[in-house]
Amino acid sequence: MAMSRVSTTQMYENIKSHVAKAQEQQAKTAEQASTQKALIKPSQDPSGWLQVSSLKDDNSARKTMAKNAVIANQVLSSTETIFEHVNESLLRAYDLAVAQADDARGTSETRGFVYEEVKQIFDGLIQMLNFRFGQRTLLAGFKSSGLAFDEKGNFVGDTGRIEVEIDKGLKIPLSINAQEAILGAGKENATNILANLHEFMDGLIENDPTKIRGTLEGFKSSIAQVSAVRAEIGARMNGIERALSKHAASEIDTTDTISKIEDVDAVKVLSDLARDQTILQASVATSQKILSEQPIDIFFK
Amino acid sequence: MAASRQSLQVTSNNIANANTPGYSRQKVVLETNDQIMTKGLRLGGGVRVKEALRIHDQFVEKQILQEARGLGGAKSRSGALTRLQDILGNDSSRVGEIINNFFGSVRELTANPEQAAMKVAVVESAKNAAHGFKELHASLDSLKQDLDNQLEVEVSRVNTLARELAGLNENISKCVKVGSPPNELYDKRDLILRELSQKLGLQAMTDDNDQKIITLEGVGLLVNGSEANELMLMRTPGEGKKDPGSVDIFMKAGDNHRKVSQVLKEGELAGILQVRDEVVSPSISFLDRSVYEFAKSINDVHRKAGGLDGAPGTNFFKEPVNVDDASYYIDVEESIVKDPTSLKAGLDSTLPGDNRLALSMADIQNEKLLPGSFSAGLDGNKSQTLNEGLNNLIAEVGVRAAHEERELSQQESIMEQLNNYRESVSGVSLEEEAMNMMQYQTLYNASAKALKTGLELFDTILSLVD
Repeated sequence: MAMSRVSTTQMYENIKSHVAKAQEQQAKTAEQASTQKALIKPSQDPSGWLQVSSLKDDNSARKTMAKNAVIANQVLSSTETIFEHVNESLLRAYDLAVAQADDARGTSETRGFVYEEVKQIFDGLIQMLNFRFGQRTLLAGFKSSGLAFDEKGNFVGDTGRIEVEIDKGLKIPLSINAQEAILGAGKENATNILANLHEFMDGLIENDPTKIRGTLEGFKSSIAQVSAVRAEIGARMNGIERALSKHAASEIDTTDTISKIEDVDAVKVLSDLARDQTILQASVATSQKILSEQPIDIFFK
Repeated sequence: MAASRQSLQVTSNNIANANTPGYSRQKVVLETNDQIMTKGLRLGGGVRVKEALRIHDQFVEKQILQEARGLGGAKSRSGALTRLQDILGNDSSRVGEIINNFFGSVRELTANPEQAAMKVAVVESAKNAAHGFKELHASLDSLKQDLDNQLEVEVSRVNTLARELAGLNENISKCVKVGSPPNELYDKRDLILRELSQKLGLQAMTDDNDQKIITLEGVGLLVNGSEANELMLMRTPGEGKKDPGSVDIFMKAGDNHRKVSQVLKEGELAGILQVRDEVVSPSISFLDRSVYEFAKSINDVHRKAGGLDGAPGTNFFKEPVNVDDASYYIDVEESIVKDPTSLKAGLDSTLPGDNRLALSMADIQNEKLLPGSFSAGLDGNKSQTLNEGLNNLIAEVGVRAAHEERELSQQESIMEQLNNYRESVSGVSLEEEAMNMMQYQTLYNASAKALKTGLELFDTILSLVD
C-alpha cells in the first residue's frame, strides 16, 4: 500500500506509537535491570521456566536429604565410638583372661582383685551401650527413649531399623541391631559378648581357671564381631560422604544452570538499558522537532 | 460566491473534525451550472456545489472489520492468560514450593521422630500447605468471576452498540430517501461496526435502503435494519457445593432464548469464554485433583498407625469427599491441629524411634499421582508426580500466553497498518485544508471583485440615465 498522503491524526498517532514502543522497551529492560532476572514469567520462556522449576524442586529435596545425611553421619559416628569403647574394653578383658587362665599367674587372691576390675569393665560397657545421642538411645532400636540393656546385660530395646533418605531413592539405616551385634542373637556362629564376659567373671569369682580358659575363644570371636560391626558402620559413613559430595556438586551445577536460564547478564542489561533510554530520548526529541515546525503554522503566520 | 462559501464551510467542518475518531474528510464536488441563452449567445451559468463527497475506502473498511475480530480475541485472551500466569507462576508463592516445604519437614521428621518440635514443624508446614492451596484456588476462582463480570460488561456494551446501530440505520435510511447522504452518520455507523467487530465475529451487509444488516456467525441476526436483537447472560448452575457455576451468553428470540456461548469463535467475548472454559476452569480442576490425590495419599499412610486399643488410625488432613473443590476445603485434621504430637511418625505409636510412616509419607512426593497433562483432561494413567504435574500446568499456561502475546502483537501491527492506510485516504490533513481554505478564500474574493465590477458597471449605466 503506497501512502503518499499523511493525515494530521496519522502523524500524531505514529509519533505516539513510536514513543510508546520505546517506553515499553525501556520499561522491560529496566525491570530486568532492577530484578536481575531475564525470566520473570513463564510465557517468556516456557521450557526454560519448566526446567528452572524442576531444578528448584530438586534442590529443595536435596537440601533436606543433605541435612539428614549430616545427622546420619553424626549418629553413626557416635555409634562407632560406642563400639570402639566396646573393642577397647574387650581387649583389656581378654588380656586379663589370658593372665588369669594361667595357674602360674592367677591365684584366688589375684582373681578376686581382677574380678573387681572386670566388674567395672562390665558396668562401663553397659553404660556405653546405653549411650544417648540427643533424645535417642542409639542401640535401643525403635524403643529409643528407654535403655538398650539393663544392668545385668539383658537386651531391653528392639530390633527396629531406623532409616533415613540421604539421596533420591537411597535410604540408609542409622541404627545397629544391638541384639545381634552384642548378644549374637539370630546370627550363626556369633558370640554373646556379655554372656562371655559374665562367664569370665564367674570363673574369677569361683577361682576356676578352666572356666576362664573356656572364655578365651569367646573373647577372640567377640573382638572380631565388634570389628565387623565397626567396618559396617564405616561403610555406611563412606556412603554418606559420597552422597554429601554428590549433593554439593549437584547444588553447584543446578544453581549454575538456574542462573544461566533465569538471570540476566548484568553488563549486557545495563548496556541495553542505556541503549533503550537513548532510543526513547531520540524518539521524543524527533517528535518535538516534527511537532514544533508544522507547515500549518507557516500558513497561518 | 455561494459555492465558495459552501466550500469554505466544508473545509471548516473538516478542520473542526480533524481529531474526531472515525471521521472521514469531505471533499466539495463543484460542477458548472446550466448555460443561459441570451440574445443568441450561450453564456455560462456559473458554478454550484454538486455534493460534499465523503472520502472513504470500502475495501480497507472491510479489512479493518475482518482484522478487528482477530485483534479483539487476541487482546482478551492475552490479558486473561497474563493474569492467570501471574497467579500460577508467581515465584514467591510458587505452588511447587508449598509442596517442597511440606515434604521437606516430613523428611526432617524421619531423622528425628522422637522430637515433638519436629512434629509441630510438620503440622505447621501442613497448615501452610493447606492455606497455600486454598489461596491459589481463591485466586483462580476470583479470576473466573472477573472474567464472568467482564462478559457482563461486554454483553451490555454489545447490546448498546446494536441499538445505536439500529437507530443510525433508521436515520440514514430517511436521509437517503430524501436524497441527502448523511456523511457524519455513515462515519458514526462505521465506528460502531468497528467496535462491534472487535467484540464479536460478524458479517455486515448493506440493503437497498443503505441499512446495515449484522449477522453473528453461527448465531443469527443481531441487527436487521432498524431492529436490534439482544444478547443476555444467564448462569449455568455449578456441580460442586460451593461452585456458583458459570455465566453463558444467550440470544433472545421473542420470549425464548438460545445458548450461543459455544458457537462464538472470534472477538473479545469468544476470547474471554475460551480462556475461562479451556484454561482457567481446567486449571482449577487440575489443582483440585492434585490436592485430592495429595491429601488422600497422606491420609492412607497416616491411617496405617492404628490406636493402642486396635481402633483404626486417624487422618492427617480432613478427608476430601470428592475431587471437586478439594483445594477449597483442604485442612489439617482438627485433632492434629489441637495436639501436633498426635501426628504419627511410625507404625507403632508406642515406639518413639519408629519413623516408618514418616518415610512412607516422604516417598509420596516421588509417586506418580497425576495424569499426563492438564489440557488432555483428568483421565488416563497416572504418570506425573505432584511437582511435575503442577509445573507442567504452569508451563502449558505459559506456552499459551506466549502464543497469544505474539498473536496480539501481530494483530496490532496489522491494525496499525490498516488504520494508517485508512487515515491516509480518509483522514484530515490540516495542511491540505489550509491550502483549500486559501484557495476558496481567493475564489470568494475574486467572485466578490467580479460582482463589485458588475455593480460599478450597473451604477455607471444608471448614472447615464439620470
